[in-house]
Parts: sequence; C-alpha cells; structure tokens
Amino acid sequence: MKIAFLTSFNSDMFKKDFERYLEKSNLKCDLFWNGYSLHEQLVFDENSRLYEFQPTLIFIHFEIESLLGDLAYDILSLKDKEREIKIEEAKIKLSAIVKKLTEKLTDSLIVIENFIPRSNSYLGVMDLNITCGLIEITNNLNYYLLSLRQEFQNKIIINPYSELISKYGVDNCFDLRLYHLAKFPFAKKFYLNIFEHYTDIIKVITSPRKKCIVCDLDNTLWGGIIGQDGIENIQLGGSGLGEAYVQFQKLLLNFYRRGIFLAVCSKNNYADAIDVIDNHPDMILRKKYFACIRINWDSKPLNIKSIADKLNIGTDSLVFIDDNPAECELVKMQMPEVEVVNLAGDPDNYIEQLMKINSLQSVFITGEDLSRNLMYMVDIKRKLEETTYGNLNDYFKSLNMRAEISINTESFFPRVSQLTQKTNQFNLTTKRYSNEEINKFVTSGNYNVYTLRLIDKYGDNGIVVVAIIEKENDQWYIDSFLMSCRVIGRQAETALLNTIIEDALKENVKMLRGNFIKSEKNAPAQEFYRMHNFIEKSNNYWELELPDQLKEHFIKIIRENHI
Amino acid sequence: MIINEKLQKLIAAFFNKPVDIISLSTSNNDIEEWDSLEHIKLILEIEEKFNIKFSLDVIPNMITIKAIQEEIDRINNEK
Repeated sequence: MKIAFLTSFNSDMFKKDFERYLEKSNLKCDLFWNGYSLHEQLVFDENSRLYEFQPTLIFIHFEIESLLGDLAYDILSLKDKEREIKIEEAKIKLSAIVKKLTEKLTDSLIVIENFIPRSNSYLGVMDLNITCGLIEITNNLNYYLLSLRQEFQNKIIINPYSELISKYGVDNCFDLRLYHLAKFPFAKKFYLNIFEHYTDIIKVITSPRKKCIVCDLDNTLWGGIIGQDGIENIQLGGSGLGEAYVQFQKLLLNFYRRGIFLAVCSKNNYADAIDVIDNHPDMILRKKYFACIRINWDSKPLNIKSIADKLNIGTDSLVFIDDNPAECELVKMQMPEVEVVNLAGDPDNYIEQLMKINSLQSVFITGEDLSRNLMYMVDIKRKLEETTYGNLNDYFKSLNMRAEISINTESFFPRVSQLTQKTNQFNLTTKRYSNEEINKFVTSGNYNVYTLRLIDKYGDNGIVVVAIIEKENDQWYIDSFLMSCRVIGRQAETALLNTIIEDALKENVKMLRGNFIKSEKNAPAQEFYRMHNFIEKSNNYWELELPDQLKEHFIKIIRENHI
Repeated sequence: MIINEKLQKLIAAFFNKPVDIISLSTSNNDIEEWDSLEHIKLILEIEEKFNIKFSLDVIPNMITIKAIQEEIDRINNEK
C-alpha cells in the first residue's frame, strides 16, 4: 500500500521511527513524505514527486498554526473582521488542496487530521470571550472540514487528531523545544501514540471488519458470579464498579447500533443468567440486543462455533471478550482466527480495551449497518429463541401467540385463493383455487372455508393457515389444508384443526376424512394426519373418528365468527 | 574525567559505530552522520535513556561527548 504523508511540520524527525514501527506492526507500506515546508507546493505542482508516487492513501496533517501563520499566537494583531477574512482564506486553501488532490489522484483516499493548536491560546480566558479567538477559529475550521467531507463524499476521511491530543493532553503530546529547534512538535514519549493514531486508520480502512462480539457474562457484563452471588448481589448499576459495567454495556450497545451483532457465550445455568438479562433493573443489554445466546456448560469454542453457524458468518469475523484468561487461552488455541480480548483489570478499563480493536471500527456507517440488527431480529429472532429456551413448550408459551380464526369471511377470499396458488410446502392436497371458486364453495352451503391469522409478541403474521372443509352429513372431508411456510413449526395447524373438530362435534359429525396428495414439494405436510391421530385407511387416505382427544398447543384462539 | 560507558555505548549504537572510536573528545565533526537533525534525535535518545531533560539553550552546544557528559553530570548533581 502506498501512503503519502503531507505534513506542515518537519517529519524528518520521526519518519525513520515510524517506518520501523510499521515494520514491527507487519504493515507493508510504501511511504512518501514531503520535505519540510513543501506540503502545499507538492500538491499544486502537477509534475511533483507526489503525483509520480501515485499514493493510494494521503494523510494531510497540517497544524492549524501553519494555516494561520503569526495570527495563531497573536490573535489581536488583526481586527475581528480581518480575522474572519483570514479564516476564509484558510478554508479556500484547504478546499483547493483537497480539490487538486482528488482531481489528480482519482482513486486515492484522503485522510485529514482535524485541528487542535499545539499550545493553549495566549489570550487565556479572554480567548473564548471575544470574536474569533484561537479556539473559535479552530472550531470553525474543524467544522469546515465536515463540510468538505460532505462535498467530497467517500474521498475524505476526517481522522480525529484533536481527540488524540485531548486524550493525552497538550503537555504530554508536545515538546516545544523540538518545535523551536527543528519545527517538529511531538514529544518523544508521544511518538508511539501518534504512530498508533496513523496506523489505526490504515488498519480500519484495509482490514475486513468483524461482524459479531461474543460476550462472556460474569465479570464481563456484570461484576460477580451470578450462580454464586445471585441477582441481588452482582455488581451492575448503582455506583462504583456496578456503574462501570453499565458503561461497558453502553459501549457494546453502540456497536450493536453500528450493525455489529452481539452474542452471549457463558458458562452458567440458563435460568440464573437469563433472569439477569431479562429482569435486572440496570441491565442495558436485554435479550433483544443479542442475535444469539449460548448459556450452558459446553466448552466456549464449541459454543462460539455454534454462534457463528447460527448467524451464518465465519468464525474469523468474531471478537470474543472474556475476563477469564484460561477461557481466552482455550479459544485462542482452538480458534486462532477469532480475535480474543482478555478483559483485564477493573471494568472501567474495559472500554479502552475493546475500543483498541481496529477490526471493530469503521469509518463510514451505511444504511444497511443501521438496519442490520433490526432486520435480523425481526426475521429470525423467533428461531433463535427456540434454541435458547429449555424446552419447546416454554418457547411457544413465551411467544404469546393468538390465532384469530374466521369462517367464510368474504373479504379474506382473495388471500385464501392466493395462498392456495402459491403454497407448496405445507399443503396437504395442493389444489389451486381462484377467488370465484372459493366463492362458489361458500355459496353452495356445503363448505366451510377457515382462515387463521396468527399474531405473536413480535407482530401480526397475517392470514397464514387455510382449510377448506367439505361437509358431507356426519362426515367432514378435508379438501384443502395449507399453511404458509413462514409459520411452520408454530402449532398453528393444530390450533386450526382443533377448531374444526370443535365445530364438527357441535354438528354431530362422526368422522374427519382427508387425502394426502403427494407433490414434489409438500414433504413438510406429510406427517400432519399421523401427528393428529388420523388413521391411514388406505394409501394416503386418512380418517379420524370423533370425538378424539385434542392435541395440545399454546395458541390462544379467538373466534371471529361462528357457523 | 573518564568517559561514561553508558553514554559511550549509546552514542556508538546511535551512529552505528564501534564503541572504541567514541571518546570524550569526539565531536559532531568526527561523525559524518551527526548533522543538526540527528543531533536533536541523539539528544532525545540520551534524555530517554538517562531519564533527564536538557534545557533548550544548551542543546545546540552539546556537540562533543565531553559537553554532553558534563551537562548530564551537572543535572544529576543538582538532583
């Protein structure tokens, strides 16, 4: 990768150190540096070495002092209006530089370090209380960078240099002796930090982004061990340690909102741990934020593998975080492709440890990033939860399913017809009917056309099950019985069959009969009769003598109308 | 005055020279690589390894090993 550094300071002072640092970090880069004070000239000279070099990445690291000249530390040398003009000039210069670079190097990405002065303003408290003091000028130019970023979309990245300096402090970052001697601002002990700052963005741009953070629970998302301490005694919320865990959860929530999946991998009794996630008043990361939950006593590598499978992503796109060094070692050993973060020290340090992982960072956020977790949750959350519940019945109960069943409701006939036309999998007879044919069945008085609308805690699934029953005196014949594949495995078919049986009993019907007409695709419906106690009298012809014991299900039935 | 061995080794390593050619009388004229920029880098290296800080006014004058060593001793005696 070819990287050009355009700096307003004398980069000769640290470029050898930086090159050594890059080698050590295994980043293979070909570097270009401007000679001191040539940073602008190289841009505007069309035949310059810069354009010959053809960088893929260009760092623009101009100190604000270089844009303002003497004004920076002699603010009052100009009147306010003149200072405003000076700011406008600086903007024009910046914009011209970016424009030229993007024109000449159409495939390059430009990284601009934002501005922060290397010294505090010489005006002291006055600086913020007059028009266009040094701080205001700095803010103004930083704000301008954002509008440049908008103008040159996907061409410019703003690298938060000011955040770096405020993190370590002006007194630690700069060594003004060096500026006076060699026009170079950084203190030697700060080299590593500024090198990291440059390389972090290189890594973010070039390395594939991780897709999921797999979290341990005890001493990771909360303090203490839930199995021993109990929900009353773990540290979460309140103040002190507990608050630090809340903050760490908020950081994870930030990743969730940026489109990174969260998952749980914890050795615990399921009921103990899920109780905290569901019910602890200070828990931030409730169940809905986790794309996958594995709380059991299996080995962590095993669970991590199953999380990756469930989310349909490679284990190399996982980050695993755990406070337990032994667990971390085991995962590192068995799954070297997983990025393992062994959280160490007090929980208030966790944020920094996770923020350091470049492969979780990204420069841009896409619409898809923003919605990924939401889409994912709505789509397959039900399936995910199925595996996290102790047994299937608990799962069904938790869904709070309601079935609105109606008979011969004309407004639903178009939907009924549509379902007969397109349902292939769970369809006992695969008979296709038009809207008119459905109408005729009903007006003949010999048929009941049942529809079932399924609603659960996630929302309304619409009409998803249809049955067409031909009434032949004390025997009812199942002409059609079909269910949208969206709700297969949810017991909706049982709910509807039970309703049909109840209706049949009211009319003193003695037997339900039906055929299974095998098609290429309807294997999912093959066991329907057998599972509901029908007896196969001849090949694919089934009968159920009434009354019969109804099969259990967990759907609350609401009758819209009765016969 | 005897040369400080730690300083001697540091300077030799910094300019990638044999240790025995570095003596108290060695100056920036004797080592081709010792230009004004390398001078500042050398001073920073010494500051780091000896855990001291030189003042701006003496840095440009510390261009012989003797001058450097005297400044180190002076600062250490003041401590």
